[in-house]
Amino acid sequence: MTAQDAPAGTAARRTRRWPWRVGTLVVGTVAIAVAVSGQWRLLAGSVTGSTPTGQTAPCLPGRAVQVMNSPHLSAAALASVRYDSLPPTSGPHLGFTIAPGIYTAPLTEGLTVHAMEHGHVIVQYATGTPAGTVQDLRRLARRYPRDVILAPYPKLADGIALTAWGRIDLLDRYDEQRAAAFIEALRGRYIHGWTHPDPCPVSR
Amino acid sequence: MLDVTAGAATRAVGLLVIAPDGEDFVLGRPDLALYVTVPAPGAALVRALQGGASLAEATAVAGLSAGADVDGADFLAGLADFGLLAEPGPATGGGGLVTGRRIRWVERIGQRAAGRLFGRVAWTGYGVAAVFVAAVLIARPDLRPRFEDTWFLGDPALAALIIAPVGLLLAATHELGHWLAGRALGVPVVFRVSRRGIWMVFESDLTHVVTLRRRQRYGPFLAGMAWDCSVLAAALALRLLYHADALPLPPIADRLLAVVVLTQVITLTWQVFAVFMRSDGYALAANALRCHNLYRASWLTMKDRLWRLTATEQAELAGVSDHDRRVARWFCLGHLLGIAVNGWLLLNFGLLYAFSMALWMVNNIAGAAATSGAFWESSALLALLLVQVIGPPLFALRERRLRRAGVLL
Repeated sequence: MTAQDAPAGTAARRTRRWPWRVGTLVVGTVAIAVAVSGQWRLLAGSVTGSTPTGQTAPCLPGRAVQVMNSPHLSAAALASVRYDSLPPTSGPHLGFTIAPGIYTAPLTEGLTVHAMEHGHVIVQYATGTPAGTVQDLRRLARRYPRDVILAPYPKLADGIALTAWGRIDLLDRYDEQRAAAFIEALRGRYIHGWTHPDPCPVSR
Repeated sequence: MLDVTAGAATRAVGLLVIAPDGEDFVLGRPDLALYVTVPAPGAALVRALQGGASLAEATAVAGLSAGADVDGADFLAGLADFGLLAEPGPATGGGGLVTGRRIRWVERIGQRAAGRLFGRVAWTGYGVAAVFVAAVLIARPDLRPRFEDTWFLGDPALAALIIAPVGLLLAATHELGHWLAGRALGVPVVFRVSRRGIWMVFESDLTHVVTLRRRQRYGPFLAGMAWDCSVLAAALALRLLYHADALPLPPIADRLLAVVVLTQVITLTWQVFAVFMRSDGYALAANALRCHNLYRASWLTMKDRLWRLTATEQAELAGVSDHDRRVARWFCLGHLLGIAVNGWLLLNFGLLYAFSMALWMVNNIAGAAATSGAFWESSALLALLLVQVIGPPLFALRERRLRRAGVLL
């Protein structure tokens, strides 16, 4: 290599770098955009919580409940919150949620509300529910490992409460068909925002 | 000039191990964890010396192998400069940042016992486990891991406290797999518990695997992931049976199994794709591509394409073999892919967990009385989270500084 070759070689390398830089930038930007857009609701929602936007959808199982403003609060602040249904279907809640599954002890409302905000269905039963019914409910919950949270709920005098975001159905006794219909229609319907239009005919 | 007839040099030449590596040979000192690749005449010279030949006789043997005159004394001086002819010493295992204690009771497992875990039948089992895992994760989306699985208890602090030792146990299982596969092949692998920065880690030092033929090295490199896959398959099988009403388990066990699935899926994805951090996937790729220093060659090639190299880096890249540089030209794209996949992992699992926890803790610290348990629990967890988030980049910067100072290889 001669002394004159060096600057020419450096310039050539510099020219060669631009396609790599532009290509990496474009591919990187697209990859980040795709990845972030898929999780944007959860990422933004993990900071902001949810704002009240109702979707009544009369054709869906259960009945609609007015959606409350639903920020993330501390456990101390949640102690004074009054929800608009029993059990709640929206409203202020804790910053973390709870994994789907079967729980043998009651869960705080701040956790179950957050789980509904992530698209899960909560099945809760009165503490005096017969063991056989609890077994039926457990069998039902095991069918939906990603969607259902099952737990006792001491505030419920009797029966079973099915709740999803902005939706509730109260059962006097276990009705597998009705419960399964509620779960299948309402799981994943809301994940920090309505995920899809409801299949109800528009009434005129 | 090196006096090969001197006692120390003769002893050191006797300690050299020689292993074929394609057309070349690996010369190494397992006691010093030092290895170098040399052409066939170099290996012939060392073999002759180990057989009792004089330097002149050994040089003649090397000359025959090369088909030309060679300078045996100069070759040995080169080995001495590299440290291969130093006095016998204890195994070091590399970097100055790692302090560790060898786990002697594990190292008592014999070669034969270890061999049973890596025979044909065992590898078939690991293969079946991998296929099973892929099939379940494809066919049963409801059993795929989600970041929410980490909150398997109503108390996130208690959940984190339980997950930490579970994660450590799973990491130990991975390293034990490497170690046992090395032991099965008779390689003197060290298994130790040590720390990197403030993190406790288990390590199996696979340096000596370079003394094996390349096709024999796949076992030790793959073993960690094979064991991870087996644990993952077992966890998924138990969850499948439980959710099919075929296996009565306490509900909390199912949720803990979901944590194991989450941990193993993250670990396996990291091991396969984090080639830019010398993961197991990198070791397998470098072995399959018959490279010696693909890691640095790829980083330097990528840096040269996207930014520029310093004079030292240019010299380092020029010192890498032509073959490694050729492979690095396309393999550096694997680094970019690995970074993208690990970014996806971070986004889908790490950030969502970290954001939620951080917000909950900040809310508790701001809203709860300083005398309350919630305040102190959240303060302790926030400190831990900050260490986990800020610690790795700080530690990486420290490693970089030490590497530049020549303290760390």
